[in-house]
Amino acid sequence: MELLALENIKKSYEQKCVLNKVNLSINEGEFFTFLGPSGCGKTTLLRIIAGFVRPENGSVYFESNNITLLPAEKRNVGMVFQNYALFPFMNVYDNVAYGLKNKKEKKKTIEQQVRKYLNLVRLEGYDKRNVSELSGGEQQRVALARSLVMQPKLLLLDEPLSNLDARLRDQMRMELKELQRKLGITTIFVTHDQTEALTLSDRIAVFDQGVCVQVGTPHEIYTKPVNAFVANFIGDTNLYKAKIENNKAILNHTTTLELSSDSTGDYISIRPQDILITDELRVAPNQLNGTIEKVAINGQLVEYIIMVDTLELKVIKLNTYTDSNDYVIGQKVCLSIEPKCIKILNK
Amino acid sequence: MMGKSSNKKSSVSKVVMTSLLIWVLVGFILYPVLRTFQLSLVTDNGLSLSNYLNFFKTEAYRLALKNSIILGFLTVIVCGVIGTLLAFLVHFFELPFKKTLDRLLLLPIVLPGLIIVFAFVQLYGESGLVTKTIQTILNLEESPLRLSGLKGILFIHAYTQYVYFYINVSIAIKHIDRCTVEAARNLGASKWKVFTTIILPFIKPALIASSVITFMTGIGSFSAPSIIGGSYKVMTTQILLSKANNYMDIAATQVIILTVVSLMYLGVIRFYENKSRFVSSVKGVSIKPQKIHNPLIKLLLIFLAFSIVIFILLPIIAIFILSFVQPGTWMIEIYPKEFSLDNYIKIFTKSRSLAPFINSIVMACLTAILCIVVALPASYIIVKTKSKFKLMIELLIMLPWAIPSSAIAINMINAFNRPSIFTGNQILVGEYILLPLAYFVCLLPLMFRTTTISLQHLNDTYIEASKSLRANSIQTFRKVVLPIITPGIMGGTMLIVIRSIGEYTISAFLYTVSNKPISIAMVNGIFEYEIGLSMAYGALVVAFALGTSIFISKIPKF
Ligand SMILES: Nc1ncnc2c1ncn2[C@@H]1O[C@H](COP(=O)(O)OP(=O)(O)O)[C@@H](O)[C@H]1O
Ligand SMILES: [Mg+2]
Repeated sequence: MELLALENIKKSYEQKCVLNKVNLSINEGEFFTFLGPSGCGKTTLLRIIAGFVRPENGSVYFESNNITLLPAEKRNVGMVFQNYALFPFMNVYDNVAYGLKNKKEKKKTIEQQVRKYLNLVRLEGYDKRNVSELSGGEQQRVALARSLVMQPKLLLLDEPLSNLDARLRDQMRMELKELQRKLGITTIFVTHDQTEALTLSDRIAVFDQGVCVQVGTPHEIYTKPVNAFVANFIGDTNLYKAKIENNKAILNHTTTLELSSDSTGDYISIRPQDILITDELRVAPNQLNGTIEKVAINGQLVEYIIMVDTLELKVIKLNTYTDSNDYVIGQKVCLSIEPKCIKILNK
Repeated sequence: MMGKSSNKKSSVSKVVMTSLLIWVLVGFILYPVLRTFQLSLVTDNGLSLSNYLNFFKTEAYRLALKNSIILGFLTVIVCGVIGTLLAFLVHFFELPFKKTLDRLLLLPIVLPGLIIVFAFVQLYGESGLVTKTIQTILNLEESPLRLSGLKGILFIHAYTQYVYFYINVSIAIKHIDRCTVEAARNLGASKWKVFTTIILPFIKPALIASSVITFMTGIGSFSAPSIIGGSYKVMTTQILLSKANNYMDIAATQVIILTVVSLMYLGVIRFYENKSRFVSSVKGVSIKPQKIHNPLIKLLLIFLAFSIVIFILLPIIAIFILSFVQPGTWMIEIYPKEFSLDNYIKIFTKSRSLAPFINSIVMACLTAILCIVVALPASYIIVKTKSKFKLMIELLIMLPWAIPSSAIAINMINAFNRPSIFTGNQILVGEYILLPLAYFVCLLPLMFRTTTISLQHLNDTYIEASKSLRANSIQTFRKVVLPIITPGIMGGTMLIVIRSIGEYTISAFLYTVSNKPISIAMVNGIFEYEIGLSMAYGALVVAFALGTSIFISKIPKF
């Protein structure tokens, strides 16, 4: 069932178009992610949904009602801000109770609910603490509890993990997903981090300069990017401008690659893990000679930059004992690329 | 900062600097307070509280104390309301000419109180220009305004002292995190709820801090009560009376009581302040000025802003116009008709009239030099070293902040009317230097705040970065240290000069023939019906203040 629909949303600041023709439909119970580079308009869209910004064009539908002009305080939408926006002059308890007090709930109910949600985010016993004494992760949980206690139909999370250090980020990511599953709350999650988006989401909307370029499951987005921007932004890739002719991609006057299908486009994308390093040329299409230019070990992966004439290729291999990954800088190697691994894309 | 070989030298010089500093602070700040305290306790029968008992037994003294306290509280309320509303008007709503309005509203801080009092008398007094105009227009028998007593004093305080609230609340408004406001609305808070539960707590510390400084200036106010107070007697005027009658023990007792009231308010507020203090842990986005959609309200606000501009500028304009009035012409008419440069010519040609002007400038410069020489090393010790005496130095240097000017004047008399070790066995009372010394004690906290803030901006990493880029000590000082600390210190110095050049309270207590300052000359001029001459003095001071205030990029926060 559809919970939220955005129709033709447009917003500009000082003549600069921040969002343009955004159409999205978000289903009940879904974990939906807005993914895009910083400055592409994600926060603005979130603030339109929460009611802090009015779009110039288009409408916001919530449970089939047009809420475009409804004031923020009347919407049943919870939001966790990027900087958490905890009230610095209130303790943890008062922060979480704030919304319930606005609803004029009974004192008893408030206390009960606050405790329940503080437990839920594993902050029992933190009631009297000052919010400025809390660590980033704890502040984050207070912000979460403060929104959840209102039992919103829709939860908006604006880059909730971006202010945490790497280890805590991984932990909070799991907790967040767990919490969302447990409560079944429809969630819109904003991030510029593709790994977060891919691991958490049911569906992802990818934004580029205020335009929603692709919507799909993480698998769809990764394997079938609709254009060069998506391919490049989600996961590492080798992206080249190419001339496509007769099932072939002409990269420059020395390198031509065979393709498996004949579609039109002006870019090709090859994922680094789809390029095979071999010791000698095989009898197969797309065999190349190259020289190792750089080696970088990144834990479980080894990343090579290999020059084929003037063409730079990034290649990734698993860092295992069984594979002999001992290529050194300057070594000559052979490369093999299966035609079906080469994606043809438009800009 | 220095090589290993000079480490010893630098630690020796640090010890010398610290001892000298403490010597000066004790000698000119603490010792005078203690002398006054001693004087209030020593009577003909030895040590006793009889001066204090006498004070509380005397009806007139009790009344003056009560009046002072009432004046203090009412000043806080009036200035709090005006300053806070203005801060919201300018910084919370979208208004045209915001920047200009903001700068204009800061103007009263550089205008000497005495000049404002005279300007107000000329405008709103019983035969003032505005009063007479209203009377003529409405065809009234009696003059509609009476600038005297408590109401008159408060009217003037409203003009001269809303600035503290205005500055502090403006800064607080700029620091409200927009996201917390949105978070509150997201949690269902109405506009009014957002204001009372989010906006107000954000500005509360600013309100509290401003109330302290406003209360202190309120109970310490002297110019307005002495000139237009009439029958509304306050402590500061009583102290001058006691001093004039040479009842120095009574004056001392009054000074101690006034100082205790001031310190008590400070203590209570500090206690309360600690409870309402909060740490904003995130860097937020400041709120966007609210758009006003209703055209009627918008028009009303613009009209209000316009009236405020007129109200603020009117006294300044009045001073300049009246300074050109031909001496001896403006007697019975409502408006002056004949103008000339005579008043200015008189000031600059007659040595007797020029002397106060020169005196004030020289003493203001002396004060500024003394302030820098003491404040800079003190700030350096506070900010950049781990000296054991940090707390002591800070307490001593900030002490005058809590003492009304009239009390400082009395303290100086009591301390230096006999030889002391701090003055090389000289008696300073009656000497030229006593007045600038008292200005210096009074303004030192202001200078100290400025230099401290400037030095805090001077992050050590800048110096290290400069060194790592191969700059030597002198280059580092010239290219890195000076540019960072100069603007703040310049601003502070200018403010000191402006404050001392028009100073009246301390001057009234301590001036002698040799150092009669411009403010005293103004008062004398008024009493000798040379209003034009007084206004010319005032106009010169105001022109000087406005000219120099261009250099004050940032007014230090109190
Ligand atoms: N209140 C505003 N006024 C002017 N420009 C804004 C405002 N809010 C956002 N922008 C601009 O809109 C663009 C998108 O901002 P934002 O939605 O915050 O991006 P994201 O959250 O994806 O990083 C940015 O270029 C930003 O500078
Ligand atoms: Mg953002």
